[in-house]
Amino acid sequence: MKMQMRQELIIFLAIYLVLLILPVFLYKDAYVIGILITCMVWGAMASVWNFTMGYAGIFTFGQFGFFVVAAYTSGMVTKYLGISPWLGILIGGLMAALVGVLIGLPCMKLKGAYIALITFALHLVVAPMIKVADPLGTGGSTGLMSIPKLSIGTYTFSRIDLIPWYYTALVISFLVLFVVYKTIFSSIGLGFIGLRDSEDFAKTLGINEYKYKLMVFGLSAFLTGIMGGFYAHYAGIISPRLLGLDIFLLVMLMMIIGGMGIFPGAFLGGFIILFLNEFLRPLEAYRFLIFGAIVVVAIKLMPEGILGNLSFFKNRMGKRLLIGSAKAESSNSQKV
Amino acid sequence: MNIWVQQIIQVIISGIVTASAYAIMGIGLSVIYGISRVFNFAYGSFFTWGAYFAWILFATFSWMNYPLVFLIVVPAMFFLGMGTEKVVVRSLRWRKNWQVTTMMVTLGLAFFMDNLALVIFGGFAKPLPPLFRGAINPFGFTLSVQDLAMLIIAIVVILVFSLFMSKTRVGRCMQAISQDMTGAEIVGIPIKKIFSYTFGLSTALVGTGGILLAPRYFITPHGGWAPFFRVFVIVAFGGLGSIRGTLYAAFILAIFESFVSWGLGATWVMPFWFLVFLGVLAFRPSGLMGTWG
Amino acid sequence: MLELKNINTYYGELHAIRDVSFKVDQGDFFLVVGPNGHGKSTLLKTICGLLRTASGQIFFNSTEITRLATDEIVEMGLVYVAEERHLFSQMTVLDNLKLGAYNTNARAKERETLEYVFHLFPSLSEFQNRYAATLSGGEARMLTLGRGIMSCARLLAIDEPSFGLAPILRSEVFDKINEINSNGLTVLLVEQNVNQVVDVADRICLIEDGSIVFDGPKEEALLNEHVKNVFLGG
Repeated sequence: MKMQMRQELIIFLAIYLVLLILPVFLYKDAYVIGILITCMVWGAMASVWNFTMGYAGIFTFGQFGFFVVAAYTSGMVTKYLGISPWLGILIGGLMAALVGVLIGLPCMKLKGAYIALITFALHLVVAPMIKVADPLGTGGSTGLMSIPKLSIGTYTFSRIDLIPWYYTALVISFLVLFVVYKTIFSSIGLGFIGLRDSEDFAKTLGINEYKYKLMVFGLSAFLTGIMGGFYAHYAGIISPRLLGLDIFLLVMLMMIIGGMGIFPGAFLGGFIILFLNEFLRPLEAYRFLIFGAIVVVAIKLMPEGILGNLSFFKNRMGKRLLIGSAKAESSNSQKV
Repeated sequence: MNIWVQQIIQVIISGIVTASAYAIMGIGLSVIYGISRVFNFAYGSFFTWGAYFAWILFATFSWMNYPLVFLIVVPAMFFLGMGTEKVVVRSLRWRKNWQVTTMMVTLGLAFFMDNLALVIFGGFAKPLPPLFRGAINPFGFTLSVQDLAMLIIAIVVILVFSLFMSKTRVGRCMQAISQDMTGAEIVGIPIKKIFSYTFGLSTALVGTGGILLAPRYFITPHGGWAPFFRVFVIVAFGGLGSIRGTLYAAFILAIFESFVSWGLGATWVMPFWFLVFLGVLAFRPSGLMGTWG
Repeated sequence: MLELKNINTYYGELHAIRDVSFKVDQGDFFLVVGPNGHGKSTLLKTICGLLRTASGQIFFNSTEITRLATDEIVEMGLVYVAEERHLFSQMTVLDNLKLGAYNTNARAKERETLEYVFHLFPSLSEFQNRYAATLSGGEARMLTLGRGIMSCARLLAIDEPSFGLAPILRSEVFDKINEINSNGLTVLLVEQNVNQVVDVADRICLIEDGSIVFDGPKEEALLNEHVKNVFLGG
């Protein structure tokens, strides 16, 4: 396990190292920098989604809902109430977390496929709700515009120089992924592996599925929300278009790539998919056809299905660690 | 008669007419879910394509008429559904978490189908000629012949469907599977084949709905999602997997929708539907449970 | 008639059936016994195609059926009567029975077989129009067995038909099974309550922990100490 941890950590850090120095070579190419920022945003989101689905086994299609709720919250509180955008992002994340917990309370008790159905239906519902709430300042179908930019001290970020945005995205996505990484390899994460693979066994160790699931769902909502909040200020304009099936499937593809097992897989997937997207852009409408077909083919070709992560943990090594961490947890709670 | 009562009855009639199309599509969704436990997120896209097939026929052959369109498109949709099941869905079933995987794959399929329509037909809305022209005035109410036709077709479809389910061997197999899948296996029912027929049936039904509703609303590539959401809410409200529940729900909710549209205006229609959905979630989640699981 | 060779089946992570091999001859009344949860049901489900084996082969009338789907196995004449019953709850007793005759062999003889089943279980005839969901435990078991007989199977694999029944009903069920066995139907029976059924069995097989611990004619079984202990213990 330690080996795998270290391997994945190294890959994770390597990616960020590359990202860190990339602008040195590319700073003149604003177009590519812009794409890279988008890659980091969606890649981080895909990573959180992958974590929630593949590791925690919560089949949710509602991540975009969280993203958009946070984006609108941050956008609106900074635009209308003059709150600092940094604080706005945090508030956005918390708002998303709140929504996540509210939805999670009834949902986490249900069987997997129901959660998928319900969260997808909720996803379908968010766009019309935004349009209906136009009088409240959401901007309806045209979108919320003139969202304040980020600023550090006296320097306000601009739409022309993307480098500050790039490094902000780098730092925020790094933090988000770091939290995901820590959670996966913590006792909570192991608890989930156990629950996914042998539910009865895990339950006998006292692992409370509902509690864990709710925590993770809320956490994933928060993290996704943070990316959403950042995106709002970066883009300056947000609209219900963010909830479109095209973006949904792009990020879903990233998550599917992530399902291949390595921790930063989905994040890498972000780069792969978005660059593929750019590459195919000249094909215009055919591009979507290709992506639709890729989704179908990718899912069919996945041997274990998309959600078959971490075969490693199925062996005894994983179980021993699981027992170890469960013991640690129960002795912790005994102290209380 | 009092002008208010007259208006109200008119609104109810309008609701009943819309309900007939929703009922047909609701049965399709309920069936595929209640029997094969599959949730087809491309349902709206099949709806759209049913309408597009009809449009192609009308656009290509000037002598085309509706009976012929139904005769050609409905079986075509049936086979399209069977084909989709075989190619896209079948192999997923024996995996872990196959229901969620199926949802994801059908999402990709929906996207593919919608954009295929966009590429082939373009983004401009396509019209279908009306089924019938003119109106009749029973008891002083206005009922367009088209709406009457829709209602009659729906009743016929529902009757044929229920006869199919109770009298034919395949229908009884489907019922058996929906009541106890393992029991059906034990008895020797070829469940894979039945799943295939079920998908075909479901697709044929939604295609029929597409053709019926198209003359009223124009056909657009992404136009299937709104009806899909409505039908989903209807089926959830009525109890996933219960045909009777779906039928009741279709009529109840369609009539309510009609009142909402008349009293509050068309912009409140979509909010109405998602309020109903939230309501189902909050107060009757068993509406979503049904026989699934 | 039925032959298993080195069957291994997993129930999730659990190695439920370990390297099981045995033979059931035509006309046999083959009894499988063993403590609860040791794989008896899993064994039957594997044979009938409801569960997949990880390794090994199953032959029915010299044809390999290891990878076949349940409906194909039923067509060949090997039918499972489940302990969990799996009746069609929203259908009448009569409809349940009729569906039991779904396979091509049975369809042609449906009327006769129905008469035969009503003759064996007169009470089924009485409440043939009641919905299966309204039946009591004992009645449901009769229906499950009756439905299995409707299939005109050549080998009936029956899983704990007496479970949860009062002793009087239990012996009645075993009498009926003995009767159909005497009429030529090969029976593979899994049971926990062995006392009443031992007499009628031809061969007995004891499964513990997913493996066969004893396999032999009834007379031998009754002389075997270990087997007797399990009987007394079970």
